[in-house]
Amino acid sequence: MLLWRKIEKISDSLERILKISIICSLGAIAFFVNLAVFFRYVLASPLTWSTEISSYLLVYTVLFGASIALRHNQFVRVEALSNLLPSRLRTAVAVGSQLLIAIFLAFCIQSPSLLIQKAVITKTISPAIGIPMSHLYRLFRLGFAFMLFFVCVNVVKFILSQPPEQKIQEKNK
Amino acid sequence: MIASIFTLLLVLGIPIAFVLGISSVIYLWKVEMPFVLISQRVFVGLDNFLLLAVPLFILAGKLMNASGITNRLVNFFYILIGHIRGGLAYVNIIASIFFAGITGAGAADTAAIGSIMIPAMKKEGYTSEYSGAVTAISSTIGPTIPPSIAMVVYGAISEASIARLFLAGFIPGLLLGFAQLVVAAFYAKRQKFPVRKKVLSLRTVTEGFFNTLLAIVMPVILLGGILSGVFTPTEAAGVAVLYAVIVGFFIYRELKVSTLLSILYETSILTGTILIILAMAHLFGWILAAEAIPEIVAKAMTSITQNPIIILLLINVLLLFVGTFMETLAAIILLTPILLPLAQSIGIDPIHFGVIMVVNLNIGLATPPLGVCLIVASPIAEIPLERIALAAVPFLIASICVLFLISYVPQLVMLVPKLFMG
Repeated sequence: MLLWRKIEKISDSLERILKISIICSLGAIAFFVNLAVFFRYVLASPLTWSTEISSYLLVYTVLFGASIALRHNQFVRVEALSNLLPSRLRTAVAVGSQLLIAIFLAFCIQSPSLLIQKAVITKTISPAIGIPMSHLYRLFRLGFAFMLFFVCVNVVKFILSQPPEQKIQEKNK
Repeated sequence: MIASIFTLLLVLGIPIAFVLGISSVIYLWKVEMPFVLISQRVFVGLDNFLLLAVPLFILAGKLMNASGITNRLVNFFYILIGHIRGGLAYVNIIASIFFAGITGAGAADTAAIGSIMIPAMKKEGYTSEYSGAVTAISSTIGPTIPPSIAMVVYGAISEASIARLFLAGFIPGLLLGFAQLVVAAFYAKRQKFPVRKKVLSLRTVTEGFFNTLLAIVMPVILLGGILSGVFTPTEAAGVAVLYAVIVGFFIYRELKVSTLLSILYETSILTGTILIILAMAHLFGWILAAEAIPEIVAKAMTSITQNPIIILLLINVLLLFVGTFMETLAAIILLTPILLPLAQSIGIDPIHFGVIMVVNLNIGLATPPLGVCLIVASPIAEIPLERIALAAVPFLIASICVLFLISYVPQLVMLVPKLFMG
């Protein structure tokens, strides 16, 4: 249980960091979009980098926001039919789906490796702001890593919250 | 095989984003394609300037709500028409039409207007069922009238002009509102709803109007800006956020920094859950194209019938069915790549089809089991969802009539964009 409490503490801290990141990120998007309008129409000097930076910020807002949403099971799903399953089967399906999601996320984390390697070798940078693309892909990978972490925590939490068979039987008696 | 896996995962209740992702990975593994495609497609799917309009419009709507604009809007229409028989139902519907010009999301409309109107309607003797039903169904108008998040998402997928889509939504949105007002008028007469005996003074009306002016001019600024070329739809969304912040902090002074931060947080989470589906759909879309699924679906449909009227009917029935159990934006993301080529093959303009799709799937916001507006209205009205759904049936029929009208009379949709943009 001590280990579990530590994991919960890490999860909470991670969520807090992600929360601050997405608040800043969305605030920055709104600021840059308005700044672009101001520079183009008031100062007649269009900004070249605001579109690019806003788009990249959106990618991370989505990935980090989705990580928190995943921790709190806020993802959009079709539950009408799965709710009809008997409770024991529903539990098995819930754990099974979380494991499936975890495997998929592992693929997502591994997937940008080639892109990162290529970007490092060719020293590719983003066209307007000049950020190395390898950094952007690493952050992208990190977004999926956060999701994987929360899915694993959810699976453990789900298993721990299930009362042992014996207890159920005792309760029934 | 992929179709079976996709359906199985969907039915098992796995989040739609992961249903798309997992199915795609299985396909890539089966055809021995490199997995680097996952990150390539997902990254490119999200790295799209157009999509920035989605969080920014959600943010603007939430900020407007927190700024007290909704209260003023409802209050103004209450002053204006609240005194006639069944007036509160009209206030509810008309406020929704105007609220739609601020935010493009149905559930936000139900929560904002419902929390004011449902208790007020109950207090004046309307049944909980009717109050909840009017609130839920009138909220389905929101995503049709610009600005609309659903249309931004459709535009991003279909590459149709978002400015045109916004303009095309005007007449269908107003028609939906009119149809619901007709049903409300019929009910008011039949049920002999209460009449508020209060004489209107010119001063109250003028005061109410000036209080609401800032809400009413917002859609004018946004659409005017887009049409005059001052800003793109994404920039319009950004300007809407700035406008809401200025109104909230400096004019109405109802917005607080802590509220702003929590709204930014809520919006980011909502954006994450919506756009992660779109990102995964970008990966899945590659598979659809590789397997020529849209062509197969089009062929299968045209082998049943080649009559465009029946094909459009079948598409509408399919969308109405999907809308009952799937979230609107998720359904748009999933079905646009499959159904748009079919619609185009029978001569439907992508703008026209986009409006049909948005109106159709939004009707699902007020139908069980996944009618988000019903889900939001139910606790406010303090009655089970099914009872509200039942009371909403006449309004739903009216909305479906409008859907078929705009499906078969394309001029109703295309008139405004043609008028303004040629």
